Amino acid sequence: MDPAQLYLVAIDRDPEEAAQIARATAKRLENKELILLSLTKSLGEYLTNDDRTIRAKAIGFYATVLTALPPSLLSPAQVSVITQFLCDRLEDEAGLKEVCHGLLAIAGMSRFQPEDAQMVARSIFKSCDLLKHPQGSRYLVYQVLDKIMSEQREALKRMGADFATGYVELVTNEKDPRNLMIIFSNLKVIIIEFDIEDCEEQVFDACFCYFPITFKQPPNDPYGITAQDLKDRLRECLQASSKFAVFLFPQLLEKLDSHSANTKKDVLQTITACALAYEKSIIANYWSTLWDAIKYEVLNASDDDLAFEALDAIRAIAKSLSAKLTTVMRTSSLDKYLKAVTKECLTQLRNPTAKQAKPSASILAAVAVASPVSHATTIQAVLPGLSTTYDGLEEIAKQRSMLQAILPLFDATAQIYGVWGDVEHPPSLNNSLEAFKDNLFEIYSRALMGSAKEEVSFRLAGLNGLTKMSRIKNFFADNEIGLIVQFFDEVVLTDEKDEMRDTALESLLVLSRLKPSLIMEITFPAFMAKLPDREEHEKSYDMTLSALAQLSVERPVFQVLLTRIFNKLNIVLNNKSGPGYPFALLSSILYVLRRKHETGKDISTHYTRIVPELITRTVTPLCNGSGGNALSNEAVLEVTGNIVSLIIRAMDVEKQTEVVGELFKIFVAKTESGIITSDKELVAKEFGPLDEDTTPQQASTIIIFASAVAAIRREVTLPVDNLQQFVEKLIARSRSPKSPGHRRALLRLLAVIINKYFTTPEDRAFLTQSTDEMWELVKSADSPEAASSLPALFWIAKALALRNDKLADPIVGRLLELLDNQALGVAVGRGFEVLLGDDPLLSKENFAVVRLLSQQKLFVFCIPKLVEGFKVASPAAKKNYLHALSSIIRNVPSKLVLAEINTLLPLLLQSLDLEDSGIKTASIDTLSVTVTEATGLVSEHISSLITRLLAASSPNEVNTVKVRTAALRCLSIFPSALKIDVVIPYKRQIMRALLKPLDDPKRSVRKEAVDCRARWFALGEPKEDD
Amino acid sequence: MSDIINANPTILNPSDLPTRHSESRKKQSSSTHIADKISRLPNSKSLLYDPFSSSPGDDSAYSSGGSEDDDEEDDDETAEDIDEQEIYDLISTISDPEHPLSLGELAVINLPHIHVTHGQPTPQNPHPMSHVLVEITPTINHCSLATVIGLGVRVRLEQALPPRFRIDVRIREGTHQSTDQVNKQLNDKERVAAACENETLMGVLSNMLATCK
Repeated sequence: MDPAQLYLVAIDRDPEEAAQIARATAKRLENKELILLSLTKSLGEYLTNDDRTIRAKAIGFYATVLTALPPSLLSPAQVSVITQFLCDRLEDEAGLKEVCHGLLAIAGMSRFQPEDAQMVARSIFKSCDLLKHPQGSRYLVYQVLDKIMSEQREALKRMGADFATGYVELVTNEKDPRNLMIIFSNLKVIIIEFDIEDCEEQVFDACFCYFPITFKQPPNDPYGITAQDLKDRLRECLQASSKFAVFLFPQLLEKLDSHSANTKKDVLQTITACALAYEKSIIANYWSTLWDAIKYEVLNASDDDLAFEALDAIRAIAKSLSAKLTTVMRTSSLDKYLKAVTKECLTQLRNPTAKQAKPSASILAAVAVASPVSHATTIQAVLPGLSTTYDGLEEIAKQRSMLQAILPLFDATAQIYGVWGDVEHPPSLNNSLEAFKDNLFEIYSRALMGSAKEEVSFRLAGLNGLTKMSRIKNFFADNEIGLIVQFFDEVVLTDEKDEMRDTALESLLVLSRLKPSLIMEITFPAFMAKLPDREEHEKSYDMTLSALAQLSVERPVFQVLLTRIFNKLNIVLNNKSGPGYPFALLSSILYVLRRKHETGKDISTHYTRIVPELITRTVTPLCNGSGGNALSNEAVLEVTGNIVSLIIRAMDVEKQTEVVGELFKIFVAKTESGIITSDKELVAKEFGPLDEDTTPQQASTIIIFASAVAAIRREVTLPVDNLQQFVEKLIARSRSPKSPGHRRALLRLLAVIINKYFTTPEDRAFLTQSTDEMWELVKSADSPEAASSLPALFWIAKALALRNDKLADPIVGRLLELLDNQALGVAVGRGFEVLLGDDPLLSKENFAVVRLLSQQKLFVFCIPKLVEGFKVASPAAKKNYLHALSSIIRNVPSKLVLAEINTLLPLLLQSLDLEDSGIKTASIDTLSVTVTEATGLVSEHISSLITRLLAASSPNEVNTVKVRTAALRCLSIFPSALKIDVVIPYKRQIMRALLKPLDDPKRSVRKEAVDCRARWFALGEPKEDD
Repeated sequence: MSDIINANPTILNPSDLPTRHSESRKKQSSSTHIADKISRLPNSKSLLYDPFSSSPGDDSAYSSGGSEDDDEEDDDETAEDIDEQEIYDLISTISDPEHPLSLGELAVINLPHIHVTHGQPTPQNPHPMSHVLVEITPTINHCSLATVIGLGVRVRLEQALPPRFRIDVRIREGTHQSTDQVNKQLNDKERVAAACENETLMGVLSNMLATCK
């Protein structure tokens, strides 16, 4: 059998075997064991077969053989013969795909000649009627053309208009996105490189008929072609030749009247692209028609997005007309264009409060950023007119609108001429805005400083104008900006309007980056002087401190801030201040440190300045028998602790070892420490916060100690001989705390130490033993007070659970059992808050061992036991379980709760019947998440849920504002989250029931009720889709 | 889009629209927020919150379980009456049917043109009717959309106010060439009900009301 026959037999049965036969044949040709002529001849009988599939397969064989041949094997004559042969076969519709494969192979041969390429092109144009073929075959035809265009482009160019017209006719009616991608890229080559003078319109039409692209990418599209890909390729064709302008612009503008926002957007983007790509002389012919049409899209925009695109187009035209211009030229097309634009906009701006004023201002800014020349022309054309108009305006509202309308021009100027600190060279053309500098400075300053205090938006316009102008490089002189900074200082310090102060402060922050020295010299002293010397109402210092803190992130400024704040703190404490003001002073230091840390700065270097100072000042006054001062207030101690903790955390092991040694000397060992800067001996003698008989104030300083130790790295060994004894001491103190804050600090410290250091078998055995002992005591207690070890058990369990330690399980298990206990159940329920909540000290940042999923493991451990316990619990105890559940769900991500929602939902529903506002709020919050995330389940329980939520929305002792708000908010999610047929039956009931909350005594609740009712009202109404 | 009746109306700046003062403190900018964080002493419940120290009889120490936004102390006792500002807030955010602007920004709804009267409860009549009158100012005096706007205001108020309110929506005297005719339409129950059956009209209304905050 000859190979062709073998191939035909094999192809249907085993394509791989068939391919093998073809490859073997190719090999034989290569080795001259077979001659090409006889191979071609052997196909003869199959090619005349009546069965089209046999004809196709025979060509398939031939193509596969060709593909397998080395590209340099065939002589020019052979290539030509084969090309001719294949081109003839194009007339047979049956084997189009296979012929194309052959053509692709032959076009890849190194001796493929220019004439061959022309022959292929002509034959395809003549013989192929692509409408008859599926998209896959058409794809191959386009590939062949693409191939010959890249192999023999010059030869095809010599065909003149024949190639372009042939191509265009061939692809008419093509709709397949993958094919269009090839066609567009070929058309682009044709437009740019081929001589299409005689058939421009035809080629243009072939492209433009696809505009606008409305293709929507189908789901699971194997080719991954998006509408945007097609739009981009098509646009590249349209912008490829300036000669298209004559056809393109009129048709585009026609389509701009379309109702579809998508089409409009496409039109505007295409205009922008073409304006930038076409020659200037072409745009000079069209700017007038374009401007007339596009301006409408800005002035009457109903959609910001479209207005934005239209502004882009307006800017692109100015940019195109600016080409090669270096100075303002009165006869240039740019000048004519800008005359038209500025005239129209100035007219609109004569009435600055009218709706079209603001868009007009945006247009002016858009053309002003197109180029330096365009900027100069625009500024010179509009500013005199705007000033005159402004001077004639009498209403403040109009003056305000005018000032606002000019603002975008300042931004445009900053874009062209840069802001302070920019390194790029400014344009050679002088900044035209400079001529108006003094006048603008005066107008905007007067608006800010010289108008009535109530005119907030007018003054804001003044403020914004000054800020924007101050940014422009080389515009204002330093003394002018200095004056502006003084204005802003005054606003921040004295203005009664929040909005004014906030904006002025933001402006100072902007200027602090551009002109830092001015802020240091002017703002800082002014603000410092404003801080009072004794505690007054918080209003007298809060904004000033906040402003100082925000301005002090840079190191030199922060050093100054520290000195001033510590001085102030001295004065304030001497004046017998309450805790509020010292708290604020220290918080501002904490704020700056946090900001510095967040921005990646090393804050450990601030240790020497801050930590000894703060600890000495806190501790020393407690050693002379007095009750100390405001620094020993627990809230202030907490801030001090946070500051110390943040700084120590940033230190390395060596430095930490040193610091922790000193800290233990002060708080534990009662020996002299270098940290204490005055009265060292006195402190060593009198300060014993861990002594049993210590004062409450001394005891509370453990808050600082706990925060500091929590920040120590695990590699650092704590300086105590026997850590177990130390832990026992902490537990003992926690049984008789001086205050809740004291106990919490002790237990946190305990938890930190256990979590980080108690890992040896001996230590773990110690823990087992001591928790067993504690359990015995707790179990038999008859009141929460008697169960004094209960809190410690929770904290120990937490420390262990965080590192996924198995020792936690028995402790937690026992605590869960206690929920049944009449006397302790409530306290235990609350304790779960500690167990699952995030603690700022026991964190990864503080080097605690926090294992992945530890919270989830704990949750999964607790929930089934909780649910089981609830089922069998006495009615009185059920409440405790719900308390515990509430403590848990409030402290874990809703994702975890949702995973168990099937078992939890009944409990959540029951907890809505409890007389406890806190639990109710927590449950409703969880349910709110559930409604969107577990729609199926909620749908099953919808009736009882709605009843309970409606009940929770009516005011009484338990249903506080928070409960009512949460209930209404939850109800308002239903209509959009659940299937319409599930919710619609309740619409009437709800609409009626919600009439009551509409009359709630509280405004905020009424607001929720209104929103909720509006959502239910809209349910099932016909929606109008735009 | 059909022809626009008033293409270039005067608009107010959003920051000049009337607001309730207490609320401006709530939507604070960052620096006020920082100021608050820095200078406000945490109340004993939040920062130093300890679940194990319940004050006796206080069964729910949960109410401020340390979460951040809990410091707004809601005073549950004092009642707040529905006042003009509240009505203004309900309807000033309705969109104009032909501009992407609110009725407040277009000064169609103005605070001084809203009047709320509460009936005084008496032993004979413990739940007296209250009354709200809203006068709207069309942007131009031949505005054919005045009726639609009025209807939007009316529908919004009917949805949002408790049934004890009698709602009166009128065109402000002297601001429209056919004030009486429009007023008659707006306050005729039958006509309003009929209008609400009209699907196209309701479509327009629901777009107008979609922006209500």
